[in-house]
Amino acid sequence: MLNAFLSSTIAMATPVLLAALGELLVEETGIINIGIEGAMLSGAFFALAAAYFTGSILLGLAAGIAAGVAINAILGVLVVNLSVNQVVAGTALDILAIGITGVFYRRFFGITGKAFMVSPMPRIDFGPLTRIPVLGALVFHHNILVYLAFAMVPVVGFILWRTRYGLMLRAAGERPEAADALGLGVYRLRWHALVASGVLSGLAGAYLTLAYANTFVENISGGRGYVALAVVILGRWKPWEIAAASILFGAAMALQFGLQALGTQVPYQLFLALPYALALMVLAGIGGQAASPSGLGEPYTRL
Amino acid sequence: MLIARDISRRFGRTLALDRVDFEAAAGEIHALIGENGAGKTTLMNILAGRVRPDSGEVSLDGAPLPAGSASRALKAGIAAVNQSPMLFERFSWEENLALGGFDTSGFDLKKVADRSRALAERLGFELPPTGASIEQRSVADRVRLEVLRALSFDPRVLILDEPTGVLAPSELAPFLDLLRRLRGEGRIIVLITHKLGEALAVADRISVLQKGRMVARTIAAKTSEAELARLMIGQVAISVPEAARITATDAVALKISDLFLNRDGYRVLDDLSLEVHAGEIAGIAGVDGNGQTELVEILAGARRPDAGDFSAFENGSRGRSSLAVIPETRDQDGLVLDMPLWENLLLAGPLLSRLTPRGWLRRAGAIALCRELLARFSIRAPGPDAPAAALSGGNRQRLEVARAIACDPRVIVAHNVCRGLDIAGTAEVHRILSAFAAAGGAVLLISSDLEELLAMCERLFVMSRGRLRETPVAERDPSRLGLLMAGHWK
Repeated sequence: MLNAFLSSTIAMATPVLLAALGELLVEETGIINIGIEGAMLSGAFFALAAAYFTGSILLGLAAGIAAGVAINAILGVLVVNLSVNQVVAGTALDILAIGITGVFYRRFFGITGKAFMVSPMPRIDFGPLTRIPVLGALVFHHNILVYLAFAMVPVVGFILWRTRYGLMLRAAGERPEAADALGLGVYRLRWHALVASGVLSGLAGAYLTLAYANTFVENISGGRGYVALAVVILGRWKPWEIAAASILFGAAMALQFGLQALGTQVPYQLFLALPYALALMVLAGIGGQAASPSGLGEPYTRL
Repeated sequence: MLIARDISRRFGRTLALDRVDFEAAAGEIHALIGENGAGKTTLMNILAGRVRPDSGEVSLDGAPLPAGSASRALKAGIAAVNQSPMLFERFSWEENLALGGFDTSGFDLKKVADRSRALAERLGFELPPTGASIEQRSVADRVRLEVLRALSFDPRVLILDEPTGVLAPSELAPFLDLLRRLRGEGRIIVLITHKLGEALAVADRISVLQKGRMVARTIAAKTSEAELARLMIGQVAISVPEAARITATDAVALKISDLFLNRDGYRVLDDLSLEVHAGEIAGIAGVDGNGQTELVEILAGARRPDAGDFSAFENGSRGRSSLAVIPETRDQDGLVLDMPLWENLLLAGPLLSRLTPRGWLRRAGAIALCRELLARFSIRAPGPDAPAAALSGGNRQRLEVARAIACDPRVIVAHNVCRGLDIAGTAEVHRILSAFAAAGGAVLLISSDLEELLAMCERLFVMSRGRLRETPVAERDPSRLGLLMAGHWK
């Protein structure tokens, strides 16, 4: 029971963490990417479709990444080059992604009733390590994407706070006109972050279909992209705190499954709401302490 | 040789630059003067590749520069320092400098700090403590840091936009020496200023912009302040402000008693008391960062003192609404740049209640008032519906003064109200404030411009490290005042 809970916690935290790290990168350059939900959903569908038709998990992952980058590229044209309101553009992309994935899904699988399934991504075999109590389920029980997600935490932190390139990214989000005056190229930096975030949210989506559900249902991302947005705030734009916030969210999801499985009289919808209610409560709790980049969400036009 | 040919640039309906030619030679300090809104800053931005001109081109030593590329301009050796420093507020000063031109093959903030210290020492600058973020630094500190960052590129051309406005009198001479030293190294220095005396003192040649046109280029040694002023302003005659007449009465209009304020373990205001009488202009002199900003914030009601109190009086009774405050940072604390001018007027409490009887907004009334103020204070603006951002710096300042007067207050507190204003604008603001005092109002003028205070104020105080000291007329010679401002009170 505990093992299942721990293992499930990490499994549920992973896609949120991947997406949140990407969101952290774009937010540090001054873009608030509401479209992250859409990038995740597109990544989820196209990863599964590619893996289903080619039989290759690797090609599936590649397709998921490509879909995430494509959605972010649309966002980039809108918010970086055309200075469209970021919230409006992002929300539009979320709706677009629901539409596109829904149409393709019904066209190919909805009518035929064929099982749209792939075999799950294999877990990495740690041998006897898996049988260590608690730690085994928590750490040595997962597929490669989980380890990749957690390995990205120090990588993103290092890039943002220990390199000149990261300083440039943050400068673009702090005061874009000043960054441009120093010749840092704000548009270029924002595009870099958008592509990186597209890769990460595409992977997050691919994780949902290839490693977790092994199939696709409409709107499978189910608001996890929005949770990633909340997790960035919760983690106060710091990678390790974002990882902790993701795990907290994963635990709430795992708990919700566990409570449902107990078969109590409480309506299951209440349990379903648990992780989201938790996110809301913690956000309300930290409220004003959050320190977002100064230029976050401000459209910036070069003169 | 830095050459700009036939530069034009339009912003909306305003033609900021109209076929302007400009050139500056190696080893010279070239002053660029002009009134507010004459196009000086736009020309700087075009030279530095930050703004793309509609037509014309810039070349350095014969090589044309691509239009609108700041990074290429920097690489070619053109660095510019802004009037309001372009620093990253939440970053440490080392991080701000790391984005400059020091050797940055790796990422070593300590090395950047060391090189900054070495450069700062050579220039006679003082640097903030290690790791301090920009947020808490004074305006003067920020300008120093930005000058340092520009010099970190080891530029061939250094353009400075009104750099001396925020320096203390004691810092001015070393700063001008620094410019001469940089000239001696064969660099091209372009100094944008509205202080004619400064331009004459340090520049080799002077170019004059007037309403977007280059009207003159002269050799500094062969011209005079009077001639430059005439060139800058064109046909309009300047009315020199009369020395303020003594109209002071015994009635106390503003009483500040025993203010104390601590911040980050420092005493920012130290037992500060002051009375301003109806009909007088009282002045507070001092180097920026000695508590003036905090005092103004307290008077504006934006900050609470640790101890002490203040009250404004009208006919002997208290009333806070009779106090109008004009803050120093007009873009941040005074105006909402995205809002139209007439809505900006409504941000002042008394005007808001006057123009929204029973909760209804009298739009027509507000627009009419705005139009009247634009005309009365000769503010150059497209109209009441234009956003505040469309106004040049000087005209924004005039709008703030106009708004304060329109509130019909008994007391006006003005902080560095003429900073960045040209001669005509300064004279205009001084005339308005004098007239206000002559009509029985009280003015508290807080400024880092000593000349302004000496010309305007009957009573003058010096502020240093949060303390206030009155200076009798006998003590008012510049060297004595300079010592007082530096904190030597004995």
